[in-house]
Amino acid sequence: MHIDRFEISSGEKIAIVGPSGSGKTTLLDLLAGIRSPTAGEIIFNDVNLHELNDAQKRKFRASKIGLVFQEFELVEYLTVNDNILLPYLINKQIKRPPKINNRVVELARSVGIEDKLSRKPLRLSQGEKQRVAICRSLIHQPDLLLADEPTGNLDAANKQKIASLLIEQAEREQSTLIVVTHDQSLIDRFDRIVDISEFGN
Amino acid sequence: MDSLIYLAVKYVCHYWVKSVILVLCITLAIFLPVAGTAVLDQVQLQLKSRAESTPKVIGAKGSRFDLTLHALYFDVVPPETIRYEVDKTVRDFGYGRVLPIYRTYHIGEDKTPIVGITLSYFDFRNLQIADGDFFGRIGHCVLGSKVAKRLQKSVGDDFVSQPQRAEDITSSGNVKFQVVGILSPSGTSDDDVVFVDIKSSWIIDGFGHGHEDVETVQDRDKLLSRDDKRAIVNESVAKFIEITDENIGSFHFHSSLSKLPISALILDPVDEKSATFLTDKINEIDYLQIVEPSVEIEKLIEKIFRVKTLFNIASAAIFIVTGLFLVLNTLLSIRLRSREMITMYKIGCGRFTILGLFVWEYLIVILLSVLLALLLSTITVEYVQQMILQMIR
Repeated sequence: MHIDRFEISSGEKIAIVGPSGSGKTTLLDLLAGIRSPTAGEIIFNDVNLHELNDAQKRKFRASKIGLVFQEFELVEYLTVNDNILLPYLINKQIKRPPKINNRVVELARSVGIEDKLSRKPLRLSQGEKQRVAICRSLIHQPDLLLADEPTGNLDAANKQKIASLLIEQAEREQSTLIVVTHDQSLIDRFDRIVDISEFGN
Repeated sequence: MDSLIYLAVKYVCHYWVKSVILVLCITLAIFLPVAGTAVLDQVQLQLKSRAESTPKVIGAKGSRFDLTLHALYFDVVPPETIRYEVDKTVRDFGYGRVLPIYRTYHIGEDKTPIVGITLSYFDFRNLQIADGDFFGRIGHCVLGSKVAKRLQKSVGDDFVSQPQRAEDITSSGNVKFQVVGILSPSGTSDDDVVFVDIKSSWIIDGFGHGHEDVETVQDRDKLLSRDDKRAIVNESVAKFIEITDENIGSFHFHSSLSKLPISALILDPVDEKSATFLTDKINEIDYLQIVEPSVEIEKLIEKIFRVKTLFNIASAAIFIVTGLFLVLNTLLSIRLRSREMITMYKIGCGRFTILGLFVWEYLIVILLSVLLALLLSTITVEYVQQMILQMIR
């Protein structure tokens, strides 16, 4: 994948589209600092990710990035409450705010799962699981929210709901949102649509 | 609580079946060598200390081992008894204390042995009275601490002795004994014994008895004939089965005490030299043997050690198998949880933190296993130790 220049403004909502294997997920990994580019650089709020070491990249991800996955990737043995809190449970680099439990409830309420906080993921529907994943990605108020096919495993009704939730929550949290999607019915809802195949390989 | 420990606890609790299986496997691997070693060490220690506190034992020729175990634990009756006159013979040598032991009867369903001794035995074993007093006459008995607890007997209670063999119809067998003392726990086989005066043991064995005074019998059904010298009565003359202060005078033996049986004599020589002299003198008597319990028990311990080696090999094998099972479990777990780990890494978790999570999960399982193994070992050691000692006896 070759990208000459790709700029994203703060608060922007971008949909990344493109055929399978074109590098959409790779692009998200690059933006999150999970992978490093073979050449060039990625600048995030004046910070060059390429210059960060592994620990700094992890800290960057833990504090600045929120991730939503196609398969939800919830931890089965934790309750919804603990799954939402997971970034704080596994990252000592980010400080847990004093009223974090209130924020968990507030986030859960905003996506309609406040009555399911004590449940384990096995007892949730697909749509509920993705709502939990959205809450988890937003718990630490990230600057950038990256979602990889967040509606890929949902039925038609849930697709619209989750897409709306994701956009609403990103707006509410003032996070920049980049979503990889195949779903043509969703892309109209984003500020900008980027076809990755246009970058050239 | 540290969040990693919190996550580890959650994991262990959520997959509780797997955790329980792991805990049981590790518990078994820890429990077997720990409990086994503890039991065998305790058995060895008990056997040694009892043997070392019993310098020499004299008995009838035959199995040296049976004689040793009988003198130390009372449970095995030696093939042959010896006459009480040996007691006097050895005493006359003047080389140390001589303590006769005679056991043929028992009480209770668990066949607690009744052992005839002299009062010197209590002094020799340093046995203390917890309640009551030592026996003062025939018909009295002193109970070991465990017997008193097991049979729920206290000072003033009584019990009737039972023949050792049900088919033993020739012996008088059933004699009522009064409990006059309870011993303090000694942690030895003395806790599991009913002690009576040696003459009492001969009475329950039928060598002595008490009955109505035949001189005063007038009943025609009982009196067969009477002249100036003697009165002949039949078996309907009442035999006393209880020895009381009133009837004690009627108890008598129809043979010389020196001819009556004893199972063994414990010898406590004054010094090494006396022990050597005594050994030589006893060895000159063809129907007697003298044994040194510590030597005989050492032979037994050597056999136990051979068992222990086999046991250690088996324990090591279980340990290795458990270790391999844990490795297999870890590898499968890593594979099954790879997505969870990748997700954690993607949202900012360090590799060492993920490793730490695994370590904590195992530490919790191992900690639970160790606690369970120690608990089981503590419970088992006492029980199995007693079982092994019973088997040895």
